[in-house]
Amino acid sequence: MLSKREIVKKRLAESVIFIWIIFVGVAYALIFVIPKIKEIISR
Amino acid sequence: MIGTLLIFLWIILICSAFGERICGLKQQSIENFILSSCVGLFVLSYTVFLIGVLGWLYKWIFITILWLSFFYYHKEIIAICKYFLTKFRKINNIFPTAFDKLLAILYFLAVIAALVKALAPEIGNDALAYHIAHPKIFVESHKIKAIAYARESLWPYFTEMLFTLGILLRGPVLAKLFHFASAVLLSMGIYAFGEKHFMRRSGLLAAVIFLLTPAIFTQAGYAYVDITLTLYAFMSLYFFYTWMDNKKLKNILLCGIFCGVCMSIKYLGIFIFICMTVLFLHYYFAERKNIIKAFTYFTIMSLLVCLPWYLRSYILTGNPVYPLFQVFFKNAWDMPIGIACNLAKNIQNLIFLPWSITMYPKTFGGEQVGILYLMFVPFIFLSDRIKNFKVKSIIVFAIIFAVIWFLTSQAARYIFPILPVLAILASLSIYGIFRLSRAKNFAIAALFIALTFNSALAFYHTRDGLKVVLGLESEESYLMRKERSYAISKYINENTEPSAKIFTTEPRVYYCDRNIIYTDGYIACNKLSDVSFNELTKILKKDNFTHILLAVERPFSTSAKDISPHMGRIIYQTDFIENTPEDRRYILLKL
Repeated sequence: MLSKREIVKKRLAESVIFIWIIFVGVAYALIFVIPKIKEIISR
Repeated sequence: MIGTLLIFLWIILICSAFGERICGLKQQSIENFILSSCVGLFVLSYTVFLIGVLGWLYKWIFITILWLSFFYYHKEIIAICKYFLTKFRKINNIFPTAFDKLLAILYFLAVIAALVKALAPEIGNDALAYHIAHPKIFVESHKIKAIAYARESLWPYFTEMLFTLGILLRGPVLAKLFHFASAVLLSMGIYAFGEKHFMRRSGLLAAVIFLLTPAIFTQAGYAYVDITLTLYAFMSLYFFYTWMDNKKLKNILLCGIFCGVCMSIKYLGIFIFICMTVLFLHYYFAERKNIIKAFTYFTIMSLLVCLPWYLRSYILTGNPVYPLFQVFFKNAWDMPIGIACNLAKNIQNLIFLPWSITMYPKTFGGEQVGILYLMFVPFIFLSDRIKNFKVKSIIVFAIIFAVIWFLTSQAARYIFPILPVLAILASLSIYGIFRLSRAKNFAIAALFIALTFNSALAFYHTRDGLKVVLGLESEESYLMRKERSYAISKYINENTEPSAKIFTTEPRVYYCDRNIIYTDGYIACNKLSDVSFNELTKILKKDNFTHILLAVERPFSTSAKDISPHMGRIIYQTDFIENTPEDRRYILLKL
């Protein structure tokens, strides 16, 4: 059984993971993937 | 293609069997296969070097050596083949879950993509400038020697020795396969490392993350040396940790030998030696154990292994790192070391380096490291192995190497040696995230989206090579489309005397079968940087040059009207070649 403090830490870690992965994923898509796809299509 | 692949497998099996015998390995395992292959390739490279320096670089000599080795080690070769066949039959046990199976499929797709690229004709810039261009000269002259006005020919040429053997036995495609082999062996090494020191599944995931790094699968298809450097750097690290576990002398000797090989591949290997030294110190301060004896063995082996290259350069020029370090050596060239650093060297840029190298690969030479390292490595604190000394130690290795890299040459391919350890850290982080029930499925989805994107990139990059490999397009047509220097080289080969001596501003000289000398070396060596083009042509005529090949890039617009008649006569010129990434045209002058 996890203590209240451990549950809060776990939820916090999960939130950080969600935010970071979405942030990095969206940034990568906008900065790198979409321009790359445009470049490929324009060739 | 099939013949080249079979010869390649034959050589790898002989190397592995030889390595197995001299390392005294009795059991078959992935770890032993990688160790024995690395040892075998190390001995093979030095054999080519020794025979080449003696001037005996003839095909029949190597065919004889390889066949004799094949017959002598046939029992080991059969055992290796049987081991892999058994593994293949039990493939369901190796990848038990759907997650593992999916990873395995992605892994094999990446291997196939890299193999297709490796089997296509060479179009890599540095490969055509010297990695296989110099081995071609060695093979033609049956001797490994210093090449006049070439900046690189006295550099450590460990991998180029394997390329020399490839060109001698079959051609450039066999040479390329040696670099491809480094990528495959390295990914297997990462798998074995994860299995041995952490957990098998983390090894598999790390191997897939590493091989599906866009920069890795792209470069695995070129005759470059960076992945071979990464392989031997990782093997040095591997046997450092194996030594930490069992303290056997053999492991520290192997750690030293592999580190020495790194310094025999390229000067960047010296950074690996520095990082390994820091790891010894880290181990000493963390565990308070006596490391002096082990570190002495490590250092002696490292220096002994790389000594021939630096000694050769010293004997021939008086400079062990010719033509570098003008500050210390009079005969050094006036040239910058490494490529330009694109990011200013400050703390802010260093902290944001993982972000910059992921999002803006063009700043670092264009090679893409992909999103997975940035996405997952920061969560290493979630791994249950974070308190493990080995995890801390590989973090130290990665940070020290990254800092040295940041302060010297900021090219993405020079950072390859830390990608295997970052892949292991990313894998441990992902399994750490899996322990959090709510985040698990989200992390799996993000992981597979990124891996699928990388796989798609892998196949996009190999689409042209596939036609040649499948026989749907001729090599000539492929090279005409993809390689800027091929058409002009073909013209020169067909329209100039075999004795022609050509001065060129095009570094890609592999496809030209004449005595062709690249501008930079000639100008730096003869200190002609302030001389006008008019003056230069007079000097070249005196030096028996017969032609000048000018490669003119936009926006520079040297054209026929800029060449006055007394400089030379234009005998051939091309339009700008628009269908290659490099936009340039050629003018061939007869002096």
